[in-house]
Amino acid sequence: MRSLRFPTLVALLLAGLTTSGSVLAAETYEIDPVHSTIAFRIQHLGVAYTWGRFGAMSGQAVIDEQNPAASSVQVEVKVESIDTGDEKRDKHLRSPDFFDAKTFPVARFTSTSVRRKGDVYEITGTFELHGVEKTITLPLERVGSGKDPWGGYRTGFSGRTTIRRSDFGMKWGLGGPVGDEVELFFDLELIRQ
Amino acid sequence: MLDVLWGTVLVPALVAAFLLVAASRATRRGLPATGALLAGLALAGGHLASVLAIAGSPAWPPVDARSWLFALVPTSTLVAASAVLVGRRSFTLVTRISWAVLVPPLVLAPLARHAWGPWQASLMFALLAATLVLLAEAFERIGTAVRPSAFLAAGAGPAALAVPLLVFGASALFGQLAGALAWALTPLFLGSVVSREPGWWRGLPLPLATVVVLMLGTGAFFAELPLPAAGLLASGPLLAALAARRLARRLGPKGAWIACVALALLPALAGIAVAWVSYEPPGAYGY
Repeated sequence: MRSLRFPTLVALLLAGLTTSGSVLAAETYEIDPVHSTIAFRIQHLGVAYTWGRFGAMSGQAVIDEQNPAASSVQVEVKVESIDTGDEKRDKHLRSPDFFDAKTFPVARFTSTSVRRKGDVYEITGTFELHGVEKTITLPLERVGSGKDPWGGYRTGFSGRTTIRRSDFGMKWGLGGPVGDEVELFFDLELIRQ
Repeated sequence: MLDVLWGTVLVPALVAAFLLVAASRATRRGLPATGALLAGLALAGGHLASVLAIAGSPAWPPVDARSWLFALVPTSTLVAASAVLVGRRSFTLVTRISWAVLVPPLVLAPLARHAWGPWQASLMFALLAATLVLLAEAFERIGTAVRPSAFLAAGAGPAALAVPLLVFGASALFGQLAGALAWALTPLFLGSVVSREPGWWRGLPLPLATVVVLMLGTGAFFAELPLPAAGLLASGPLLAALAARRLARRLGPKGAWIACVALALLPALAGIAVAWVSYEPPGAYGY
């Protein structure tokens, strides 16, 4: 019985050390909404781009520098906070013609896998918008990291991707003045917890 | 522009007209419940074909007002046809009330989940359910007391006036769908003018009330349509129904017809004024 206990103990210790090592490497961050931007642009009449942004967002990220595949991210955006610089247009965008913000108040991205190529994290995950879930890949480039003046530690990422609004059930007005392709821009500042 | 004409005008009118011909044949063969079902399906089919043409295929299972249209409107035709088949007034009323109790929690579920407390949700469910029952009863009473064509005009007129109402209420999509409803009702209205078959139209009040309530409810609860404006539009057919029998006695068939349709339309015009004041049309940014 004793001869069995010692190797078991060693194995458990090793497993514990390995686990605690990865826990140490993985750090949890919260999005700083005041210094982050989620914006989009879409073609109007096929001649120019109209820009908009979402003012209210929240989210967390777990960043594992040693094992990027163990990293994860979740971002939530309150659709109601859409701002295109024209209140009438924003009301229309919140209506059932587009975002249907009262039925689908939140847009959410939840990562399922993370790959790192140099400073770029390729984050694949589920994007839920307008009640539709699609898998998208979001390349996020690390802008910088460092201590802030208040004793905290921050890191920042920037990236963009393109979706089609029709893929997410927003089909009204297709072929009209408002385009189908939407370019999404992410500039996220994260505070280590 | 051609897309809008196709989806909002031609598709609903042609599909409804085609299904109406099938309905009239069934009624002539002495199958009133089948005729009522097909007349209801003419309305539902015309309108839903238009929804498909304008906004594409809906989500299944239903998740929003547009996708609930596809589930609820055809089902309402079955409910209405079953009431015609049974033929008892009490059964018709019970089916209408049961239907009205079922519909609002399904359509308003997101608001009940995210925005409303239990009391507010219950109040809004009750408001929508009462409107649905009263509208179905009103349409039937106008059809019986005056003429079936009067009830269809009292439905099509406010549906057409709901177009600007919903556009001012920040939902151009549902404005288009209101236009499609008016055009789906047009062949039914023309059919009611020429048809001498009794009873075929009795399958229509419940589906029509369901579509109207779904559109006004969506405009008021999910877009920016002021609730008083939606209420004014819905009150038109109710006023016409309240006065229908008296008008028929005093003014005769033609006079009662004109007075009923006018009564159905006037509050809708007031509703447009209310919506105009509280929400300007989105012309400034041109979409």
